Parts: sequence; structure tokens; C-alpha cells
Amino acid sequence: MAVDIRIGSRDAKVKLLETDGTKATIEVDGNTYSVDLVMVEDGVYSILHEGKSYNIELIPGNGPKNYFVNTYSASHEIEIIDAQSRYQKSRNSSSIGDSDRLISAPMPGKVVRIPVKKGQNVSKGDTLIVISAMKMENDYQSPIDGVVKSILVNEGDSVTNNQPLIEIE
Amino acid sequence: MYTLEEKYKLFEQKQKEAIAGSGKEKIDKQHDAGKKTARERIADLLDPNTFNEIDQLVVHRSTDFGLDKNRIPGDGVITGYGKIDGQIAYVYAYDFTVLGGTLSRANANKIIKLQQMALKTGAPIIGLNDSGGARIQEGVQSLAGYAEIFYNNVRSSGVIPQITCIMGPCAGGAVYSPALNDFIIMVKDTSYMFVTGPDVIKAVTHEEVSKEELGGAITHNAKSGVAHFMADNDEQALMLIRELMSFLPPNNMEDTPLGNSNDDPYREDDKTQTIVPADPNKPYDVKELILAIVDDSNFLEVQSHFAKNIVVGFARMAGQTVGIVANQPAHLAGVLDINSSVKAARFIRFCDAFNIPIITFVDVPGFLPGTEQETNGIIKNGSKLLYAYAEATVPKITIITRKAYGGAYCVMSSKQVGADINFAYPTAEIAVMGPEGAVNIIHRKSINNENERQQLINEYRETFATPYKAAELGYIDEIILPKQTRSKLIQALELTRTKIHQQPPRKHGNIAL
Repeated sequence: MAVDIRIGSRDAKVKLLETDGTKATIEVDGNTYSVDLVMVEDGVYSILHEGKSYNIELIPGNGPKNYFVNTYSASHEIEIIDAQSRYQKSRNSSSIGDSDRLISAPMPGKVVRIPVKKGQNVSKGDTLIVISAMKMENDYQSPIDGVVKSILVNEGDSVTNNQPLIEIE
Repeated sequence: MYTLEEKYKLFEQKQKEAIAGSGKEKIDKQHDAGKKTARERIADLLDPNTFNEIDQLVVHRSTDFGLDKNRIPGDGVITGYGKIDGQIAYVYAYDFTVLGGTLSRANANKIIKLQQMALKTGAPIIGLNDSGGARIQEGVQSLAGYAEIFYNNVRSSGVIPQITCIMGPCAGGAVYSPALNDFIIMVKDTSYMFVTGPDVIKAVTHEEVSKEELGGAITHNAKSGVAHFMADNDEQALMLIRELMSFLPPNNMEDTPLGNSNDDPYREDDKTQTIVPADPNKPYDVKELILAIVDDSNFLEVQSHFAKNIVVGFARMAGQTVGIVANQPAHLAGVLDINSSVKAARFIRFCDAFNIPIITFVDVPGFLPGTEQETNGIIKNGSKLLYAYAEATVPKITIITRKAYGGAYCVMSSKQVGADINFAYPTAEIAVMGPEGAVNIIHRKSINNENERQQLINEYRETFATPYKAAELGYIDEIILPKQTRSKLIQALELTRTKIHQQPPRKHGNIAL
């Protein structure tokens, strides 16, 4: 089993080579260590390495793979980076470059509210129009920071599928 | 006679030539186009040093049009097997630098051999597509190659996972092998797929369209629904395949790989208590709910840009792979229409074929009304979703979060179409139709004024737009709080693991295609 562990800003490659009872052989960035590891109480471990003893406290952090590690003299924030989290990071947000400047009705419905005016400055994510369709009020947000170029419908209007509603530039 | 040393040297020489392929100049050109070479792609896809190449020295046998002077070992397709996170997978990668990665009889045979081995040994097969299509100089032999590949795709369908990544051109008949696969990944800007290209379209219909617009990654991910995933570049696409593979079993007879997770199966998340609003007219993002419930907030959405009114994808619950299907109230009110029905139906059938339990989150106002839907066959297409749910024999667990109205209630994995465990939140509204419509029909003749109507609507809402009528009849097994969802689902999955469900003997059903 091999994982990367991020300690502060350092990424360490850690590999568990073998375990035998409480004894374990681990490889960290190419160096091999033989340690004797015991959990002395919930979340507190005692590690014996080359005759020296270290006590370490492991506290679960914000994420399922984040921990705070407290040693006698220091405290570290660590993150375990396994295959799963590497995949999740790589996936990120492959967006389709949603730069549609024209908001149109995705389905037939009724215009409930238009909280913006022509010529008004809007930021990305601001609600431009509220459409009621299938008894649900849906907010449509601005895809960009810009100005309302034209409003093609009025409050209370019925709209059809794909009808242009508001243009942003 | 050669000495031992000379014999080994000859072999090494031949191997070196094969790996060198078409030479530096063509490889540079591939890199300049923002694409990796076939060998680099395979190296990225598989675990380090696990690739075993098959048929490395195969060459084509064509002599027409001077092709006999252009023979490169491997003939433009690299085939073999290796491991992805320790699991065996077969891979074939078209090498665009050799004769444009075109398909010859010889390299078609390489792919066919791989397909047959994959089927025989029950391991997934992955295609990395970057090909100019049929090798025209070989004529009908090349077509025969395609046809045999298609035939094997169909024979393997539902037996082993088949995944294709489009990493360059894929035009004409060649598109049908990816189409017969389970998943298609497309790389943005460098890949495109179409049956007839822009030139032919212009000649026949005088319509001008760019390659990207006609069959680019965005078109097939957002508009046509042909592709399932989109990646920014080759690396990301190959990582995506690795991730997708981590959810899937090697074949239809085996269980999915068990992921390890420290996420507490009995975790109760208070955040989930307020995701679904009490007001049935307010939308919410169902993906927030999914992320809060699954292991490590890890949800791999499939077809995230197409028919967004339904969300489908893979996640893990206590380490076990599950397929999730969820109406999305944040898009088109979560309504069922042609595209969303077909999208979910295909996903459910994949899960059923590969022993992946299906979890369904229901919040659906009904089917989308309108002439466009009716004339394009919502009856036929909606029935596909119903068919897929009823046909699936894997564990099926349903959670009604809010609306479950009319025919859409029946379709969305109701008890009566074979769901094993049905949960509902206290916010659920399970009825034939919404309060307004119902009151207008039931009391059509007796309503005198608006006040009376409102009163009747409120009465109906309190009595019928609840989960309690359905619970009284046993159509809902248990009403749960949103924060209990994770632990209840995991227990239901444990319970249904040993489920046995036999279908009556038949050749195959007749889904309304």
C-alpha cells in the first residue's frame, strides 16, 4: 500500500512494506524505517524507533483524509493523498465554458420576476429572471460580469421553449 | 548460423524498430497538436511497468497504391494488457503517427484478438481512439475489420465493461464501435466524432458547420448525449478512465471492487436536514444531498452536461459501489422528459448488467407537457426508463425527498415496479397530482369562489400531499429524517446484498427502442 502524505507544504511518499504484530517496516521518500507502533489510548500512539520513543496524537481534521498530528514539540496538519483523492483532484471542473450571453427559457413557463433593469451592471451569479414552470420557481443567473443589454419579456408573460429572455454583454 | 548473442540482438533490433514507430518527426507533430502518442497514453493509463504488448510485430499485407513500401511494425494500433490500480485491463490505442491510425485488415485483427481475449478472460477493454478511419487503400477488407469489431462489441456488451476514449478524429463507420461501448470520454478541442463530416454536409445540403460544432466534445457532452465524460486534455481523460474503472467490476459475474473508506457508515449530517426546502415551489441542488450522503463526498457524475434535470453517477456507500439516479429540482424543476428518461435508462441498465445496486432520489413534478415532447415520442422514450427500472434485478433502493406525482411516481423506482426498499422524507408529497390540479378536478362543479378553492387546496395538501397515505398502504417502507439517510441506505444495502430475483426464461425483452 503506497500513499502520498502532505505534511504542511511537503509531499512525502509513504509505503507500508510489512507488518508483524506491532512491528512495521515503512518506507518514506526512499528511506526505510523499522518501527514498533502501539496505540496507547484513543488517537494517541507510541512509536519506538532505534531505541527512541515518540508519542503522537492524531486528531481527525476537516475532511475524511485530513488529520492534525501533535508531537511533543510541534503540531502538523496532514492530508492523505491516495488514488481516490488524486482522481478527484484531477477531475476538477471540466466546464463547457458557459459563456452563453443570451438567457433563454429551457421549458415553457411564466415570468414571475425580473429583478434587473436594462443597462444595469450585474456580476456573475446575480439573479436576472425568475421563471415559474412545472409549479417551480427557477432563478436564472448571469453567466458573466456584465451589463443587461436587453430584456425581451415582461413580468407575467408566458414564455415558450427556447424563447430568448435576457441578453447580457 | 547465428550465435546466441546475434539472435538476441536481432530480436532487440526488431523490438526497437517497433517501439520507434514512425519516427521523431511524426511524433513531434502529434505533440504539437496537443496530443500524446499512443505509447505515452498507454503508459499514463496503466500502473507503471504493467503493460504487456501483444502483436507488436504485425504488419499489413497490402500491396496496392505503393503501401508495400510503407510497412511499420504494429501497423498503427498498439494492443496489449496491463493493470489499473492492480486490476487487469486490456488496452488498444490507435497510433495516429502511423498511416493516420487508419484501420487495416491486419490491425483490425489485433483489436479483434484482444476483444476475444477480454471476453474469454472476463476483463474490461479500453480503446484509445485517434484514427483517420478506414484505410481506403485496403478497400472492403478494412470495412470487414470494422464490422467484426462491432460484432465483438455487441457480444461483449453487458459481459465486460467496454470504455472508449476519443482522443483525435473518429469519423464515419468508426463511430459505431465507441457507440456500442458502455462509456465514451472525449478530449476537449482535439477530438471529434461524426458519421458524415463538414465537407460532405456542405456538398449535400449546403450547410456550413465546423468540426467542433458538428461533433466536438462539447456538442456530444451537452447536446447529443453521445459522450459521457469530457476532459480538458489527454492526461485528465486517462485519469478519468482510471477513476471510472475503480468503481467497476471486471465482468458481469463478479462483484465491484470494495473501496476502503474511513467514513462512518452511521454518520448523521445535520446539514442534510435543511437541503430540501419545505416549500414545494423552491428548487434545490440534489447533488448537495448526494455529496453529503456518500463516502468521502466522492461522486463521479456521468453525463453531467446532458439532460441536467436528472443526475446519474457512481459513488460508494461503506466502500461498496452504487449507481445513483436523482431528479434534479435545480434544473427544469427536475421534470422527466425524453432526454432525461433515456439518459437514466441507459445508466440503470449498465448498473444492472454489472451488479451495481441502484439508489434513486425522487423529487419529480411529472412528465414535461408540450407538443415537442409528445411528437418526439415521450411515450416511447419515457417507457424506456420504466422498463429499465422494472427489468433491473440488482438491489434497488428509493428515497422520495419531496414530489412524487402521477405517472412519474410509478416510473421512478416505486415499490410496484420492483424497488426493494422505499424510504420517504417527512417532506414527501406522494399523490396523483399537485393540490391545485386535484382540487380543480374533484370539486369542478361545486366550487363557488376563490376562498373556497384555497381552503380545499389547503385541505388536500395537508391530507394527500404527504408521505402518510402511501405509508398507510405500505407503499413506503419507512419514513426517515434526512440526516438518517446515509445509515439507512447502508443498512438497506447490507440487507439486499443476498437478494435473489429470477427473470422468466426468454431470449430477451423488447424494450421500446
